[in-house]
Amino acid sequence: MNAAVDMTPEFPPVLSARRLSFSYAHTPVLRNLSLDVVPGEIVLVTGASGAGKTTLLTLCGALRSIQEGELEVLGRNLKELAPREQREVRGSIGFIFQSHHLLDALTAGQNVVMSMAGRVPLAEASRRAEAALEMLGLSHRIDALPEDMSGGEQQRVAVARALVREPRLILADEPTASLDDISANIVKEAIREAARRLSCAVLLVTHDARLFDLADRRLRLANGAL
Amino acid sequence: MNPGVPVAYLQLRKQPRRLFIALAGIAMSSLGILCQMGFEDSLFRSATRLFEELSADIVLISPQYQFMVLPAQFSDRRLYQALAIPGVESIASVRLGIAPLKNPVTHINRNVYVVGASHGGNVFANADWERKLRSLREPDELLFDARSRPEFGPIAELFRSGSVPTEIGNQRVRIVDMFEMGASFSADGTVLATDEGFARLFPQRRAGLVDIGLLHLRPNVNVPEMLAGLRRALPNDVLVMTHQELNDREQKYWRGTTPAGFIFKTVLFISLVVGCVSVYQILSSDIAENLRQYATLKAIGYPDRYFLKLTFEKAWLLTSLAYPVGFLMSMGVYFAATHLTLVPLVMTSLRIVSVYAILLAAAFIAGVLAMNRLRNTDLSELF
Repeated sequence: MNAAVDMTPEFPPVLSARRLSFSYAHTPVLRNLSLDVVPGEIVLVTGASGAGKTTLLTLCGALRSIQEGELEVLGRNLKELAPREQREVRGSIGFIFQSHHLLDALTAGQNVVMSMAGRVPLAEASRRAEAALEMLGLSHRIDALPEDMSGGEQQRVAVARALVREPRLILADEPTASLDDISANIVKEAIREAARRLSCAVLLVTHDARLFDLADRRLRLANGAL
Repeated sequence: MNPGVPVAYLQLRKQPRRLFIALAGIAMSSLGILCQMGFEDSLFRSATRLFEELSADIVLISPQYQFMVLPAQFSDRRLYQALAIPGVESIASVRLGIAPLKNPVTHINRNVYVVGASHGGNVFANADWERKLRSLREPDELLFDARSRPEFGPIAELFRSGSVPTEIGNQRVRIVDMFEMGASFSADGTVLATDEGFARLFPQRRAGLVDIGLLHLRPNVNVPEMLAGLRRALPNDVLVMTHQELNDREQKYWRGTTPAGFIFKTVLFISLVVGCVSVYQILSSDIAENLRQYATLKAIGYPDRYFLKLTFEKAWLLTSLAYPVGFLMSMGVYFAATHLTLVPLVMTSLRIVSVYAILLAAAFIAGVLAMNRLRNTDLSELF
């Protein structure tokens, strides 16, 4: 438990799932799942492949429609939101995918700046991008294209892209799966720092034991329930 | 949403080979459209060039008249009837025919378009032609179009030393002056004659028959009212129309009745398709290759309209880079075609702008089509 979590009971949860169920065709994946994640809390979800971890992330990220149950993210009931409103909610979420998904024609710095479009003035965005890349140990790679960077560096740029927007919720799917120990540690510390400094909630799906000590709570997803 | 990063430019530049192919496709499309429009315009311009020079407020033609090479005659009595109507100030007539002109050097015959202008003048609005026509004294004297095809011989050069004797339809004639009009798709060359001179070249044509009647109205006469009055007054063996309507009718014949209009439209369509496909190919490849990247941006709040704008920016960049190349190539074709065919191809500002606009619109349509895949992307597949 870190200090941020000790404060959290005073704050409403950033993410609140109630009796959430989801099926693919007739195969249930999530069953009556309930979960709260409060500001500054890092919740780590583990589970076997096919347990529904990724489905949970996509539902929380408003990337998939809710079938049954209630899901509130950033105080808004996703079930009741129009597509445009869902997009607004997603604008306050930092997504870290297993693959970096960087635009290959843009430099590391430009990729990070792109994530702040329409939210932050360009000069401020550039300054923040530099700071974020520096935090992830990539200040010397700001002008590098993704093709000139290692997989670990690319993933760290993707993490910088998610964190620089100062999200209120981070949804991360195996963010360190393909990283060496050094890169994995940098990413871990960056997420921890974001949770502490921004009081943002983190829902992290991983099998990577190197991240276990990052969690305030560690949950296991099995048979569609936590 | 403006990310402040020139994404469109950077992404196009990233794939130089693909960019080059797309630019080449759009440039060829521009070239095809500009040349097609130039040829079409030249055809229609040249088809009515002679008629545009006529001096008339209202014209009379036979209902059997098809176009300038297949005219039909009517009695000149209709002109005199028209002259009797108050408001008609003067009349003139034109006779049209085709006859073989002997090359004065090679003695090889080639058909020339013969225009017989009525005695008394006021046939042409072109003052130079009119003055030279009035200077013809004898029936064997003719004016020759200096911009006729070279197959008629070096008549312009020979003329510098004086009148050029030759033959038209086995009749001796003398070319005593030159005028400038230019060849057309239907006539390689033109000579102007007086009506006496015309009658001498076409002895089989009955006197008193004309191909085009020209009416000059008094000042301040209401043309629509006069048209209606003439239509009521004259029998239906003549058609009454304005000068502009005659030009339009001639162009309509070329556009609608001859295969030329269809051919030009087909080439235009094919050129446009080439342009569209070139743009679509690069834009759709770009979206296919960056689908997950764009979907990631969509996931963090980028709306579809950002990607549409990005696609339009690329379409605009591609069109704006390739069009000047196509334009310059087309100018080369215009220059070569004008000198080889002696049919003037003229590039107009309106054409330059409108073809650019057409290509841009086609590129935007290609962009919208290419966007469909991204619009339908399932964002949940990102994780």
